[in-house]
Amino acid sequence: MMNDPRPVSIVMVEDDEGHARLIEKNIRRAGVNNEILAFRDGTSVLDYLFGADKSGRVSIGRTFLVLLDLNLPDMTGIDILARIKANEHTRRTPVIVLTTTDDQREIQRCYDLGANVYITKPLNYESFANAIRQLGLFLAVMQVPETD
Amino acid sequence: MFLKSRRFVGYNLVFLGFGVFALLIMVVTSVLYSNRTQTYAADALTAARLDALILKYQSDLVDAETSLRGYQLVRRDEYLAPYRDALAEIPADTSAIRDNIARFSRQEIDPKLIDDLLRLGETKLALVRKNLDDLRVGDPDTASMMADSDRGKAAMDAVRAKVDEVQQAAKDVRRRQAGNMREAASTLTTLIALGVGMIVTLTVAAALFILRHMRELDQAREALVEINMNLEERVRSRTEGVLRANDELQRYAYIVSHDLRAPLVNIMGFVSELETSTGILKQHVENSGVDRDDPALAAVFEATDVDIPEALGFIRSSMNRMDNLISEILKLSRAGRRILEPSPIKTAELVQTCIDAIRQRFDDAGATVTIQGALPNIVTDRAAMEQIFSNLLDNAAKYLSGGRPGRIEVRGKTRGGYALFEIEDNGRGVAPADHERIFDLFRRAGVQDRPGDGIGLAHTRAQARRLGGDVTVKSDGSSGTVFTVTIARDLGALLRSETT
Repeated sequence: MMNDPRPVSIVMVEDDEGHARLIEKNIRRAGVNNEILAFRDGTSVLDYLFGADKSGRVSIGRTFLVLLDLNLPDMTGIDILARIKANEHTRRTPVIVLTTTDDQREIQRCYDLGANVYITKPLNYESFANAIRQLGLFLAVMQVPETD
Repeated sequence: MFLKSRRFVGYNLVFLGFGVFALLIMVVTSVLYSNRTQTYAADALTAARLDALILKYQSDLVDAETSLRGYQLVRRDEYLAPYRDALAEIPADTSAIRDNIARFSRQEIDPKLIDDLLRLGETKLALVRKNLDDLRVGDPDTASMMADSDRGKAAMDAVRAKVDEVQQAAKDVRRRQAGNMREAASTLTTLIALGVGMIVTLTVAAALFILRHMRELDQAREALVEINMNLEERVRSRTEGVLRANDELQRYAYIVSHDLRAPLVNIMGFVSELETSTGILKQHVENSGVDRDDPALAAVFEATDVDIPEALGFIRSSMNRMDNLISEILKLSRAGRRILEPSPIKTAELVQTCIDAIRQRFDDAGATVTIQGALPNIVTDRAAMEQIFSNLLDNAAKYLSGGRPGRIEVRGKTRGGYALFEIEDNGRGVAPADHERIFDLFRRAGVQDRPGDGIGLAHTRAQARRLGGDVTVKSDGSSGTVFTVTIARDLGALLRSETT
């Protein structure tokens, strides 16, 4: 990702500002310097991904991955995941689900819908910070396709 | 119900009594009337025989007279044979008539009438005998013969008249007796008809009564079935209510523990950030070569060395405590969401396993644990059962009284669809005011000299309720405690009935 000629941006969907900040800090500590676009609710991120006409054409040419929390104030992250994976322009975009739920059915549903990675947020902060740093290391070596 | 059946038996006895009474009346009257009819018939027969005997008597008298007339005409001795025969017959006739008269059941014919007849007969016979003697002695003159003949005729006429009279009387007797017999027969028929009618009525009444009683029994049984169904319905709805409340509590606990966790992660995270930043700051201040003893900078060192680390330490320890509590709630809700797997449990073995697992604690406290009698085997979730017994036994070991050697007993019995287990200890007990409180989450009672978060009993109660039962406590607050665990004997059946 770092060596990629095109800058990859991270679309972070997280309603809890504190979590968002802690995630960002820990990703940065892992040495990831890419742009992080933070969204606090479902509506605004859908607008960004699919544009005003909801076609998703606005995303053409973008290179990004999505860091998705499932508990959002206005909709569930699962809806967003389904929309991303159903849209012809965004379906190849990697989606990393990062949430508190460890319910098995929820995890299965996310993978069924095409989630690329599912990470449960550890409820203990040390583990949380550790997990995010590892995720950062993972992001550093990951290849992201360009949206077309 | 009981009263009704007694009334039923009473009424039926009355019916039976009336029936027997009617039958008895019928039998008695039948015997009575058949006797009476026999008497009537015998009397009628006697009258008929009297009729015949009288006629014979008359004919014998006539024979005697006729024989006399013949002898008068031809004076030959052989003409006197009928006379002699009649003479021999008449005493027999007389006694036969008298015997016959005696046969009547009561005085049907005036004996005077018979006496008159027989006297007249005697008179006639005496006349015949006298005439005959006169003839044998010599030829009587015509005048005396005429006179004799007139007397004889008169006597014979008198006899005939009397015979007619007696015959008429006998005929009257026969007619009367025939009438009596007809009357008796019709009375008997009427009585029998009445009796039969009465028996039929009684039978119909008894049958109706029995039918009504059976209907009442049916209704009572239906009512009972309905009451039973209502009861089952009520038990089911109450069980459902408890289970639903429990479910809601579990869901609530899950949501609360999750949602509380999120800000907690932030607080912990930023405390870490603060610690890191403080460390950097402290390093910088120390490396900047300022004078530690400078009074103007004392407050800075105070803040970096003492105040900030202390504040962060309190925040961290409070957070850890809160984190612990939330973890316990989460654990509780996880246990509540775990899918129950009912299987047949040998309760005594399970309890023994639980005792053995914490044997060391009992030994350390010098306490004895015994299973009293047989424990009922049940079908339920093994893990939940183990947790219930482990928690209660652990509690018993934890809260023993210092003053006396610990004794813990486990007992069990069944009641209806439930198994009841009692875990009794002679420990410090639970004050009556705390009996409900101890089952609340994070609540504890008594002297707080033992470690614990106030989770165990809340957890135990939640588990027991999931198994279709409950946990209750009995204690006077000083001499010991009895925990009673109620559990559905067949959890599989309970779960099946829930899903239907």
